[in-house]
Amino acid sequence: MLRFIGRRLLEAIPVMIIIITATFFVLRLLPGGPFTQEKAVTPEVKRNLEAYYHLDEPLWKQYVEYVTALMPKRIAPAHLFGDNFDLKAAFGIDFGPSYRYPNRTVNEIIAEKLPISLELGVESLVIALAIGIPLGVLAAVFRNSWLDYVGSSVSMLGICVPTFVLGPLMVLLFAIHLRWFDASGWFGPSDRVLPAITLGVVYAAYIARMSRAGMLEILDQDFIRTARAKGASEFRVVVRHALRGGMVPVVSFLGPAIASLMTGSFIIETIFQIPGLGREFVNAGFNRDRTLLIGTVILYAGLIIVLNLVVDIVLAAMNPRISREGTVK
Amino acid sequence: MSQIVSEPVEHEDLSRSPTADAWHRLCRNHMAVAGGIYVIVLALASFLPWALGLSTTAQGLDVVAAPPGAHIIKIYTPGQREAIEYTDLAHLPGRADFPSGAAGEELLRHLRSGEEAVAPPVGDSPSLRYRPGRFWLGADTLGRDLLARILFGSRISLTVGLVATLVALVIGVTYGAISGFYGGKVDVVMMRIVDIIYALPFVIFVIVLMVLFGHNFVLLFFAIGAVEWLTMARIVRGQVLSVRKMEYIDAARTMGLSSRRIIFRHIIPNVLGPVIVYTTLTIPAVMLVEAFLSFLGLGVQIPMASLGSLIKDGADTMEEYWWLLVFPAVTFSLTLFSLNFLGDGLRDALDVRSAKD
Repeated sequence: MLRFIGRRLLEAIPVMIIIITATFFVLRLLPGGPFTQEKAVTPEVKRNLEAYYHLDEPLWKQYVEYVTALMPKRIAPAHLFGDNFDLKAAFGIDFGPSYRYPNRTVNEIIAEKLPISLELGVESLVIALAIGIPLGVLAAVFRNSWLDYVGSSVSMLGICVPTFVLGPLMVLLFAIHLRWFDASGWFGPSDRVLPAITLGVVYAAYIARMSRAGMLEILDQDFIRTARAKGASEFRVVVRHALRGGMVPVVSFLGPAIASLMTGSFIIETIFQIPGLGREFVNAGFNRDRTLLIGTVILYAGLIIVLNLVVDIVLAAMNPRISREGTVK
Repeated sequence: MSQIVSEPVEHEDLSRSPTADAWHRLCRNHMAVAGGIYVIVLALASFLPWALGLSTTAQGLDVVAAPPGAHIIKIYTPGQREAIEYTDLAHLPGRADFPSGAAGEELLRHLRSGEEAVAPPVGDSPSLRYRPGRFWLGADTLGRDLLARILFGSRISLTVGLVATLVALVIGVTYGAISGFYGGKVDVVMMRIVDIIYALPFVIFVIVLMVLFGHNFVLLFFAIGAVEWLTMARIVRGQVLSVRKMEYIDAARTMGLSSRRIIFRHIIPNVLGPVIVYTTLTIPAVMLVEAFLSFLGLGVQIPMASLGSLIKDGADTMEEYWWLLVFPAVTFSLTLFSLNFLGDGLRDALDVRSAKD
C-alpha cells in the first residue's frame, strides 16, 4: 500500500509541474497588467511597481523564481491547523504577493478565505450525503416502485435546477418572502442554512443518481443471490453485502466533488455574499490579479490530485478486486 | 424495456429496421416525447418572436417593471410589425406625440374598448398606431416585454448549446479516435493530457479566453466546446479501442488504406452510436455552462441576453420584481429537464444493452 501511495505521489509531480507551467504562461497572455486601474500611474511609479513584483526581469527568470518559491521545502502540517492556515510555515509554499491587494500575499488571502469555503463545503457535503445516499439506495432496492420514481424525479430536479437557479429562488422564498433567514452575509449560524442546503441539494441529486446506478449493478450479482439464499434479511443484504460495492461510483465522484466544494462554489458565494475563496477567485479574474489566480488554480489542482489519491485508497479498501496497480475505472 | 420483445405483435411487420425499432421505443417513453415536444416548441417560438408579434428590443419607460399580465399599449410606426415602444393608458395622454383635445379622447375611447387606433401626425412625430396588449410575463427594468426577452434568451442559449456541442463533438471524436487507433505511447500521452486538463478548473480557460479576445460571442462557443470535449474523447477512445482489432479494420489495412482514411471512413462511423447519445446529453450540459458563465458576467454581453443572464438580472432585482427571476428560471429548468429526458430516452432507445433496468 505504501508503494502504491508513493508511486501515485511521484506520478503527481510531473502533472503539477505541467499545470503550474501552463497556468503561469497562459495567464501571462492576459492583456492589462495588475496596475491598469482607473487612475494612470506615472512611469516612475510603474517602474518601481514592476521592480517590486520582479516584472522587469525576463520571463524565464520570473518563472524560475515563481516555481522556486512554490516548491515545498519542509513538512510541518501542524501549521495548517493552528490559528492560521499557514501554507508557508507548513510546507514552505509561497504564492507571492497579490497584485490587487498590495499589502497582502496570496498565502494570506488563501488562509483567510479557504476556511470559510471549507466550512460551507463540509456542511453541504454532509447534507448531500445524508440525502443522496439513502435516496439512491432506496430507489435501487425498491426498483420501479413509486419510491424509485419519486427518487429519480427528485434527483433529476436537482440536476436540472442548478445552484444559480435554486439559490436565488431559495432567497426569494425563505429570506424575502418568509423572512426566516437573512438574504446574504456570513455572520451567525443561521446564515449557513440557505447556502449549505442549496449546494447540498444539488450534490445530493448527483450522489443519489450514482448510488442508485451502483446499487442496481451490485444487487444483480451472484453473491447477493447467495446471501439471499442463505436467508439473510433484505436489510442485511443491502447494508452488509451490497452497500460496500454499490458505493464505488459515489466514492469516485467524491474526489473532485470535495475539491470543488472546498475551494468554494463561485455561484453560491456570489449569490449569498460569502467571503470565500470561490468569490475571490472570480474577482481575481475580473481584477487581473494574476498571482492570486495562479495560486488558486494550483491549490485546486493539488487538492484534486491529493483527493483522487485518497479516493483510490478508499476504493481499494472497499473493493478487493480493484488492483492497486491499475487505474480504477 | 425488455418487455417490448415479448409483446404481442399486432399488425406490425415481423422485421423492423433497427432505426424504426429505436423510434418505436423512443415514442413509448412519454417523458422523452414530452421533452422533445417542449424543446421543439421552444425552439420554434424562440426563433420566430416576430411571428408572434413580439419585439425583443422595444422599451417603455412608462411600463418599467410592469407585473405579469399588465395591460399596456403597444406603439407602432406605420407599416411595422414590431412595436417601437410601450406605454399604458394612464401615461398615454401625457405623451408629446399623442393628440390632445377631442381627437385624443376619441382615441382613448377606442383603446379602452380593446380596439387598435391610429393617431394622426402630431408635430414632428409621424402617424402612430396604438394597439392595446398585455405583458403576459411582465416587463423588465427597462420596460421590455419579458416574454420576448425569454424567447430571445432561449434562442441564444439553444444556439450556444448546439454549436458548442458541435465543437466539442468534432474535437473530442477526432482526438479520441486518434488516441485509440494508434494506442501505445501515443495513447498514454494523449490521455494523460486529457487527465491534466480535467484537473484544471475550467473557468480559468474561459476567463482567459474571454478576456484575451474580448467578450466575443463566437468565442464563447469555442471556449465551452474546448471544455466539454474531454469526456467525448474518452468515450470515443474506449469505443475505438474495441473496434480497431476487428477484422474489417485489418482488411482495410491490407488493402493499403492510409491511417487517416481508416480512422475517418471506417472507425468513426462505427462508433457513432454512443457518440450520438452522449451528444444529446452534452447539449444541456453546455447550456448549463453557458448560463453559469453568463450568471457570473462572463458569458453573453448586453444587449444580447441568454437565459443565464436573464436569471442573473432577475436575481439582482428579485426583492422587488419576483417575475424577472421566476419565469427565466422556470424556462431554463424546463429546458434542461426536457433535453435530459430526451437524451435519456434516446440512450434507452438506441442502446439495448444499457437500457434502463
